Amino acid sequence: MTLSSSPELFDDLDDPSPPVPAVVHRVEVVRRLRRFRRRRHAVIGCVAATLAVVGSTVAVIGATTPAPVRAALDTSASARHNQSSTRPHNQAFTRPTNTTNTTNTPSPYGTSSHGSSAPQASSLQQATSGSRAASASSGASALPPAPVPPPCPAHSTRPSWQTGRYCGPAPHAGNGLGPNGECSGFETAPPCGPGVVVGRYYTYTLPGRCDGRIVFDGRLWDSELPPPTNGPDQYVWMRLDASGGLGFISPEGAVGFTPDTGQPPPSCGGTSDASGSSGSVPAPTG
Amino acid sequence: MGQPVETESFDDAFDRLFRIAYRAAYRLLGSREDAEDVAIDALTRAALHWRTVHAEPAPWVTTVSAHLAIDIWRRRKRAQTLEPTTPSGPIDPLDSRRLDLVQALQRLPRRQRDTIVLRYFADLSESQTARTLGVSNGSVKQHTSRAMVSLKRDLGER
Repeated sequence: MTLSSSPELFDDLDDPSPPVPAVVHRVEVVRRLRRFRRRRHAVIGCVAATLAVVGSTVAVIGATTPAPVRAALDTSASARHNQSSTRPHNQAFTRPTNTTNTTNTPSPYGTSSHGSSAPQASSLQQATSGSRAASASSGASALPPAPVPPPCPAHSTRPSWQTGRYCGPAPHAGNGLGPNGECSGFETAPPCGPGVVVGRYYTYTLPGRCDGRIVFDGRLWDSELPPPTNGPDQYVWMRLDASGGLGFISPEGAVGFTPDTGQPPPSCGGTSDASGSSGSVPAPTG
Repeated sequence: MGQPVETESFDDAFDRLFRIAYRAAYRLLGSREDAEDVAIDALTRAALHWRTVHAEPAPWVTTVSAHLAIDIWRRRKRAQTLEPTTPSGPIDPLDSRRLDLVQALQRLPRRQRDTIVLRYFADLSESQTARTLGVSNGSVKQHTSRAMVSLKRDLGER
């Protein structure tokens, strides 16, 4: 063998009579292919079985975790969920945190559909919806604890949730003719009757009916987040803003209202709205 | 080697690839039975990877066949180490040369060995070898030159 650079370098090592490719060679290739694929399927099956075993084991561990452990894992979510469940009105809201306000007359309540003069309203509404979704998911996932809001500024004269906690004077009963000062629809003076001053906070008795329908400024309004069940009345601060939006603010939160469209009030909790503790709201007179 | 046939199926290419694989294996093994087994093994692997190798299957099959043949030599050497046997008859000079060649190829770096296999076992040109290995023509020349120096040193100029 001469190690020259010619292509015929190893020609003398060739088989002088090489076999002709035959069917038997093809059959052997097919046989080895099948064998390889069987092995590959077996490996895949083993991997799948292993994953199934691991998955079922994890599921069993999750199902057999002692209740105290699961309760500890769900502390935050459960606490929020329970708090929401016992809240008498608008239970699904989330208190707004770190809202910015650039206007002289803040609109601290959620009036998401009330126009552009309430810039923080949309975020509040979104947060409200998110909280409702989280509550609807039964609080199975552990949520991080809520941050502690900063203290209220000294001498807060206007109700506000801008710091993440309620600041301002405590609301008291409204001046309506109904029980607890509820508006009955027959009042002629604000805030139940017409003549409400835009931007001014009125103390107001919010009825705990689940239809979420109220009377204010001589008109009917529908809550954007009506309570799912009837509950006790609340004392809130109600305000009509310049864009025509209405909302209340109270230590329990802030929710907006939209003008009633004449549609029948929604039922709640499978019960008719007519079964409310305070009865339905009559149409305002005049 | 002609232009790669894009639409060539494995069945269509089987005979051609079998001859190529058998030739590379026989040059290193010198055994018809072993070379056929290696060729079938190489074609089985080609069928498994046909989607990626169908453009230029010949260099791929040649390289796989040569590597399988070298593996057989390795296994034989390991077996002989475990169970040394005295040769019963005179050794075929071609077999001796094959053994020297395989051992010399084993000592080569991987890139140089692939270059030699493609250039002298698959009979590819420099440019075809360069395209197959994904290197430049100059790199193929350099690898070939260095590999030949090593082979001459290991095999001796005969």
